[in-house]
This record gives sequence, structure tokens and C-alpha cells, in this order.
Amino acid sequence: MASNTDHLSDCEHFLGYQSITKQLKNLPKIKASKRFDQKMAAAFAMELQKEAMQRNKSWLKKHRQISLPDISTDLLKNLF
Amino acid sequence: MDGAVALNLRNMNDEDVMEQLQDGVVQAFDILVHRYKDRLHNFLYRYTHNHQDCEDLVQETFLRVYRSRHSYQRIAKLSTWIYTIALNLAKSMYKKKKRMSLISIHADESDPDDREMEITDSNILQDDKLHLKNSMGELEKALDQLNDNFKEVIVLRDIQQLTYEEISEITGAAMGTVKSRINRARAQLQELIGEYVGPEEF
Repeated sequence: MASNTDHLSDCEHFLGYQSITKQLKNLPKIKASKRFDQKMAAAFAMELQKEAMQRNKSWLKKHRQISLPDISTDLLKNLF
Repeated sequence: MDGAVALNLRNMNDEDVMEQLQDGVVQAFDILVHRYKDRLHNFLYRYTHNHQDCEDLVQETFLRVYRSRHSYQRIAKLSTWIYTIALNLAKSMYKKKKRMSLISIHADESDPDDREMEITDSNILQDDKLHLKNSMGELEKALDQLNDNFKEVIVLRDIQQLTYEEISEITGAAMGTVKSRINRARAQLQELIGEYVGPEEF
């Protein structure tokens, strides 16, 4: 937020444009709609999902020696 | 969100919340969204003039904040960092829109004599001017007529109420340059809407 020094500087340098700065400050504040939180949450959930998929992909790349048949054989061994 | 975690995060300053996000506490993201969504809407709307586009841009800003969370370092204020991301997005969107600001009217594609007509937005704005006197709309339009460098500093300073130092960090311009741009932008605005502004109040 603007400090007092900045306000003082404004007054000193731009006294002639006081009404402009005042008007700009008074422009209607635009706020997020009520639906925004919901949309943002959905987009963020997708982002997390994408991130998880990428993590899994890179893990599988790093551990190429491990293949799905190996895992299933291990599981079968444990079962019987 | 877990109650205790949420309460804890709510009591933290922005930079601490960001640190939590960097450490993998995803709930920290909701806190940042809650704190910045209105500020960013108010800022980005000056570039989009359209609620839908503005929401998309705010959403994209937050997603980029998340994606690049590890590149944030505490030496900078978080608000400055977020505004920088938002401004960069706004600039690239603004450039794209400027390129597309020619309105294309194409009535009948099968008719070779029916040529495509191009009308620039500025012509429409000229007509609008006649109907808008001393209004907020006039000021918004005048803001849009400023060049990009002037517009960004005046929006950050006079609408978002940021300090010169913060604006200097966000725009990457020296403090002196920021001050002079603000000064000149105000002068230009005064010139543009001067005839619609009431007497100066001293």
C-alpha cells in the first residue's frame, strides 16, 4: 500500500492533477464473481492431477527396469 | 480444508503462506486466492474490460503462481511477485487483443463482390466520446488511450495504490522513470479528459 511519503510526493509533484488521481482512486472496484472460487478450485484440482501424472511418468522413466509383469509376478508369489 | 491448518495459515503473512505452499501444503493456495482475487480482478479488469476474460486471466495468474512457486524467493514481497506475473499476462493478452482489434464484417462469403470491411475500434470510440461526459467510462477510455508503459504505472499507482518502489520492482523500471511516467501519464489523462473534468479541488 502507498506510504505517507508517497502521498506527500504525489501532492508536491502532481497537485495540478489532483482530480485525476482522485477520480482514478474512485473508479468502481471490480471484484471476483461468486462463481470464481468454484471455477478456481476446479482448475486447481486439474492442475494437481496433471502434476501427479507428470510425477508418476517421470518416476516410471527413472525406474525403467520395473515393469508391470514383474510387479504382478511378485504379487502372485506373495499370494501363493 | 482442515480447520487447524486453515486457522494457522490465515494468521500468517503472505510470505509465510507462500513458504507453506513451497513445502507442499496445498491449502496455502486457497489462502492466497482468497487474499488476492479481488485485488487482481480490479487490476486486470483495466486491461480486459470484460468480466469473463478478466476471470480467466486471474485464474491463469494463480495457476502460474502455483507452477512457479519454487522460483519465488523471500527477498521480494509476495504481492510484488504476483503483480509481476499478472502484469506480464495482461501485457501479452493486451498485445494479442490489439492485433485483433480490427472488427471484421463479412456478410456473404459466397459473393465475390462482398468484400471484407475493416473498421478500427478507435472510430467507434470517437463516436462514444460524444455521449460520455465527465463520467467514469470516459476516464476508463482515456486510460486505454495511454501507451502501455504509462498505463501500467498509472493503474498500479492510482488504482491499485502501490508504492513507487513496488511499481519499480513490478515493471522493472528505475524509480525515477516510474515517477516521471506517472507524472506524464497523469498529464496526458488530464489532457484527454480535461474538458470533462470539473474544477480542480485544492
